[in-house]
Amino acid sequence: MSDEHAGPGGAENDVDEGRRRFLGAAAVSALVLAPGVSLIRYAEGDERSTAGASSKTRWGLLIDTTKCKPSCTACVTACSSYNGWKNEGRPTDPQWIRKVQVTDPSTGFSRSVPVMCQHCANAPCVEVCPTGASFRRADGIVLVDRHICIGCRYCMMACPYKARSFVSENLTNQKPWAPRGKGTVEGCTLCVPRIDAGKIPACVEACRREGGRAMTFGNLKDPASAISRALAEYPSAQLRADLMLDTGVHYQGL
Amino acid sequence: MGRAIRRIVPALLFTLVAACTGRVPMPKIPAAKGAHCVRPTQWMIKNHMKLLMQLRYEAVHEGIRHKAESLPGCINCHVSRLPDGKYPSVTSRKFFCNACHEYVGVRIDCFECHTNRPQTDGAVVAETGREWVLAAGAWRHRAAVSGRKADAASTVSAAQGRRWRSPYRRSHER
Repeated sequence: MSDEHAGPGGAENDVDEGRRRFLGAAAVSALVLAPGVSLIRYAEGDERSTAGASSKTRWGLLIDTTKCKPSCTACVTACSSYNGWKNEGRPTDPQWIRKVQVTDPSTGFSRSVPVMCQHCANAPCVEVCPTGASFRRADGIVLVDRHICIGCRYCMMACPYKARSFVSENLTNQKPWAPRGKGTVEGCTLCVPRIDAGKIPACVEACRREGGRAMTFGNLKDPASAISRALAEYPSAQLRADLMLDTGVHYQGL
Repeated sequence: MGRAIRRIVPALLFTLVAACTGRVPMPKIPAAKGAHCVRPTQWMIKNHMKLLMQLRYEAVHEGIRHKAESLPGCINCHVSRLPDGKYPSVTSRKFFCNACHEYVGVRIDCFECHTNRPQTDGAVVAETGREWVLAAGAWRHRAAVSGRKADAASTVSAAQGRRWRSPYRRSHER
């Protein structure tokens, strides 16, 4: 045994300046490191990853109901096949998008409109969510983070558009880009994997291809975009505008 | 009394023999399709859950999707058809994740929502991993070590995994 180690005498009460300095430095570096280290390091603008949602964008939809035929369900079929959900008519079946026939009983004026998540700026589903699973992305898309969704369904009750549904059965063979599973709430994602890849939502593409070209998709914050120009030029309405949710989906001809 | 001993002793003997002769067999990890992983294998064994959590937060909340690094990318490389032409079920030891997870007794629920099959529509991983070598305390791409084409994404250190904290935790602390 060497004498370097302090015995159980008075030496142990002496302040070890070196040790104190070391601990101080460790505490400072712990504070600096507190935000955590990113495990994925690509330079900005690297092609290997997408740029991510930006608050300079607000994605929106404009649906011209005068071009939407009551018999056409191209948008619903496209959404269902892209995202891998099936509605077989049971009350609990998913309905990310559905065709609704709206009629004014006093005049008989009737229109068929597709209704999906309206991607509200002041989304009630986000407000009521107890876990933060229902959230609004920087670019205005309202989503469910199913990893932290506990399936309480508050958001389903809060949504005035009945846009969300609950998965109550085990699922298999989901689409790789659209994971869905039992015990969580789901709804229209505005085809977020497609948007991140620079494409348009599946419903809009199908409406252009097979439908009446009634849907326009674009950035509401860009005054030069087709959707902003159409909104500035023609009258349009938000569903239940009285609720002041500032929806991202707008309708013409209602 | 004697009957009880006659029952207990063989049971004890069996336990003793089982403990001496062999333990739970080591997991047999199914081979991947690519030559190298997106991160060094040794690093992945310790830190894959952190990488997956980071990827999941970035993809879902921030819309940042990495072409070479994603759960579907992992599945594309690590899951193949069995000799009978079927894909292994998530609960079988022939399923890549479950080979180890059953061994360590950690249940994962990823595949209650995510598909356990590779993408069949022709969309494959753009870039697979490159060869990793341990140099100067960190894992580096072999190309970066030999002086050619080094970039930030080509270095992985053990400290990077240790210092990582969940982005969910960070967003709650904000």
